[in-house]
Amino acid sequence: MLAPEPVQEVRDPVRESVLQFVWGHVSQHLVLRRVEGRKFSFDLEKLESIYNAQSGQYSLVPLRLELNLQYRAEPRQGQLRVSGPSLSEALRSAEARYRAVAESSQSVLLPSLYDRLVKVPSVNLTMSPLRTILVQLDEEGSVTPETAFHHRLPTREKVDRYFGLLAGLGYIRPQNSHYVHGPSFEGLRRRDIHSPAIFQRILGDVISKKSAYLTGVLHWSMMVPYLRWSNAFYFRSLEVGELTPLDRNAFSDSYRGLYQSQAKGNELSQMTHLVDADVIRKEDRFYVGEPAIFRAFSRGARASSDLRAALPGLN
Amino acid sequence: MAGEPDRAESTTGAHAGKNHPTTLFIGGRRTKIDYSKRDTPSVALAEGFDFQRYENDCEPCQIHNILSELGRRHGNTKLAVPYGQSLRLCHYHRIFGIREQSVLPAFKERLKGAGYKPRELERCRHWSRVAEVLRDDYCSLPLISVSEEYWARVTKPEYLSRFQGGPEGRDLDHVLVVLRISSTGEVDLYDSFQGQLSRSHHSLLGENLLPQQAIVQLPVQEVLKYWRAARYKSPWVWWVEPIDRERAAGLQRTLLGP
Repeated sequence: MLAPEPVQEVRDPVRESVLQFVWGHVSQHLVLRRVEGRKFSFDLEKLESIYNAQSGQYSLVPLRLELNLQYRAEPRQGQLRVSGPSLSEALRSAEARYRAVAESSQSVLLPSLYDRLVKVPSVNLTMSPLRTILVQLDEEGSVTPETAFHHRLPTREKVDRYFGLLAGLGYIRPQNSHYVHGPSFEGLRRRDIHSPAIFQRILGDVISKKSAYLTGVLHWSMMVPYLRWSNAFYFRSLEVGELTPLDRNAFSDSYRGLYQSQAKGNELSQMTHLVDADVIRKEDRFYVGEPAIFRAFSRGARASSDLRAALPGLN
Repeated sequence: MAGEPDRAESTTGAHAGKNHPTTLFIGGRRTKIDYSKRDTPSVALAEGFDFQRYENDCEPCQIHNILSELGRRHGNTKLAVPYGQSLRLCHYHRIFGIREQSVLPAFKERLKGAGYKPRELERCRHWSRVAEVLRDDYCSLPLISVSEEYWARVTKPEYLSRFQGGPEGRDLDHVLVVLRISSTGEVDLYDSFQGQLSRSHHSLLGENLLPQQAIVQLPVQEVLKYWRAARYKSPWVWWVEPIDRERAAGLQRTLLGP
């Protein structure tokens, strides 16, 4: 029962030494991708366990991060010297890559839910200057910065940005000293979409197409937490390959795992706003996804090279 | 790689077979040893063991578990290392897992005050070393690492439905606690991940709130296969024991007589 057996012979001692070095000093999740002479390139691959709260079962799915960490093995004074990125350098690279995957997923998810995100009260409130412009235009046929904001004029710079944003998307166009309906606005009206649905539609489109501008230039970061929570929910389903109900703990854990930080603000309130906006549903104590959002998200994800590379199960 | 860097002293259980508890001093601390430990059923040994929290923190979880068992058995509260502290000592990161090279020095420092030290055998040629650690009441339960094949063997197919083959070296070794090696050739192992996987199944063993799947019983030949096929430093054994074994043994003789 306790008889010794010979330890397996190592075929390539250099390669084996490099593997043992990176697994011991950096991470056991590093996988060898390429060997060129004495240069060894590593990516990271880990299994993620995703808990389906309703069925009580886990799925184990691989997540791959292309890091291209290069280690070089050189014989020196009878020993093998392995050099390459330190643990903290490798970690920074992995965190950046992981963030990039989360952001890619967010961008792919956004078009599937922008028209719902504008129903979140704080998002709607923040976008009220754009709604003000659109309402006046729709009711009076034209709008100017002065008439739109006569009661409380934001700085001229901000007003120019609001008008520029809507003009850039073709919802308004300048005519003499006024702004009138732009081709995109007309297009929606031709499709028999009228107020108030038309405003929701336009604001959703603004979020969809100009999310970077909204957060980066206008500093409207109100939708970021909701987008992140939505992503924390649907990304797990994407990994598993089917809509996966999460309980509150698994949902929070998914957020922390994906964004490597706690959510800012009251997480229960943010989750509830998503339920109210029909981004997700609440069934008993579980959060469940909307099939229409998930189908559109999955289609988008399969077309994204970033997500295909990160989630081998998508291919 | 060099041969087996076997730094272990003999860990043969000099006191095995004595079933009465006694008290002695280890590392300057008053310590109680229960010699009935090796007759303890696996379920009782694993009582209160934690499941791992994440998919890649098996080693910190299992170190935390064996230290809680050793502390309980030796009556040494300084041995208890909370889960979160164990994660920190292993330099755990959610994406990267643990930094293996940091584990031994970090626990050496942490356990010094309790009069204990961690021990590690890399490239261990003999399974008998695991049995010796298991038999020795001074030592904690031994940890071993096993290869990815173990996962496929014990994990229910539904959990592995999307687990596909991939590039070489993709899969992580897994760390298990050896609870018992029976004379009939069976090995009882505590698997903190199977425990996590099955925590909602509520299949309990005895009075323990421990899902049945957390204790895995396999034939020793199979365990040997997975133990030797693990990829990092394998075959690998890790345990904790008193710093001054000679002093502890001397005190033991003084207390119990020749």
